[in-house]
Amino acid sequence: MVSQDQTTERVVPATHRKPRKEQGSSRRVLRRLKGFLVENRGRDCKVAFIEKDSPIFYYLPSNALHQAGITAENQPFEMDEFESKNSDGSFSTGYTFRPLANPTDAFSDPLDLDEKRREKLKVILKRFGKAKN
Amino acid sequence: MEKLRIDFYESGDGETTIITFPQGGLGIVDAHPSPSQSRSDILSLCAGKTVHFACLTHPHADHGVDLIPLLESHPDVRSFWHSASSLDAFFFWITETTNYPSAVQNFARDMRKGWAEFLTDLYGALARRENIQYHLLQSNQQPVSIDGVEIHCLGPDEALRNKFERVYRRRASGERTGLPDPNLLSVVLAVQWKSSLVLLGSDALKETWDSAYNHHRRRKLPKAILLKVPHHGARNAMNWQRTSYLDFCSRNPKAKSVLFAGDAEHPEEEVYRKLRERTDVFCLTNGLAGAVGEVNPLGINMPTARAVRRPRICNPVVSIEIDPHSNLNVLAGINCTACPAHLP
Repeated sequence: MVSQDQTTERVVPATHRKPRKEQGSSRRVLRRLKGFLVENRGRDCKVAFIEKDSPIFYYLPSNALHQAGITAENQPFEMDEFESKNSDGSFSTGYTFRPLANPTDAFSDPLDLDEKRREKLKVILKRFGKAKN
Repeated sequence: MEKLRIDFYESGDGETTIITFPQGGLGIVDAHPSPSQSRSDILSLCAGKTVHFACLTHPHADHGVDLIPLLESHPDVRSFWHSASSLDAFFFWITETTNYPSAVQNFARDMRKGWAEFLTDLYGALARRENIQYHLLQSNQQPVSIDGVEIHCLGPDEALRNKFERVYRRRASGERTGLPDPNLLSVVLAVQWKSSLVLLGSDALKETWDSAYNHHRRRKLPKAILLKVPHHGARNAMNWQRTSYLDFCSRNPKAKSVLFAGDAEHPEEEVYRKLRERTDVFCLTNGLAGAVGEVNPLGINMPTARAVRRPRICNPVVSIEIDPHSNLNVLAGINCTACPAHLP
């Protein structure tokens, strides 16, 4: 569904972190968050991260998401927080975004309204059908 | 002496405006419950009074959740004003969403579902009511007169509304097409009483204000002495090159403006600065004055990453009364100049 080269990184210097001993890999994923794009709003995007089965809403810099091909409302993505070693031995924290679906994977998803609301919808359509509007 | 009164109630993330007409009847322009309980419930506020109209300025939940109990239970609501037309196609569109196959797709669907449930409950309550008139708002209509107060609709234009209809219809016929920003359906109401004008800007964007300016001029309306700031003080409601909604406002006396921030990101700083220059600002909420909740609960170490938060409440209610001689009296609420937050 998604090509692996559609990734981007934002590297931010780590704060209050001591140099560590050399490890096998220069980059280590610290955690992986899953979420989806809620709204594009200029410099920032509103996103929802799913943590413990609940959405936590955030603003993230748009360019980080857009460069990774995350541009459409509801488009899911993964964000990896990683640690990498700098040439001076210090460590930096960075983030990698990866779309979990492309805009072309979009499908129309009918909402499953409960019985009470399905009834309401019938009443609405009966009363406010085409002719009356 | 007869008076026109306008009460603006905070809810942290939504808006309620209640107009009390000179003979005591009400007009409700959006209504959203107050989670801080800083106002009575909507039915208590309207008890024993005729509600001449309940208006949903545009189909967003933060403007209409409390219109549902009003339409379900208040015995005397005369008319419902709105800007969403072609309801069959509109409901087809809102009861489905564009989604993507993934582990989080249910959450994306649930967000949309909350909105669809709100609109189904609202229009469902409306459909079950007998003896209520429907008034589809657009700028080419004659003003509505209540107790000598004329209410003009300065936007949206019919052409803009038709654009939405075309998209609903295309979606209903299976075409995948994006929808314009629903805030473009926001109505601009100009409430004129004698020589006074109150401008209620809902979430109207600059496109709507551009044409509203022409309607305002053609109808020879006076400058506004009171403005409900549009779209929470967002940048996209203001035309920075040409005429903006601030040009509708009286300079002498300096107009008062009322701001609902909606979230901690609003108002935009430059908009707020301009508002302070041109008007005497009263905030129900203001994100620049602080916000509630943790800034970064997930500890994301990325510049500008921050959680979506609610703004601090400045005034639980701002109440303003206007007499027939255009004297404006603030009954409740403090302005930004007197506010202890000392915003610039």
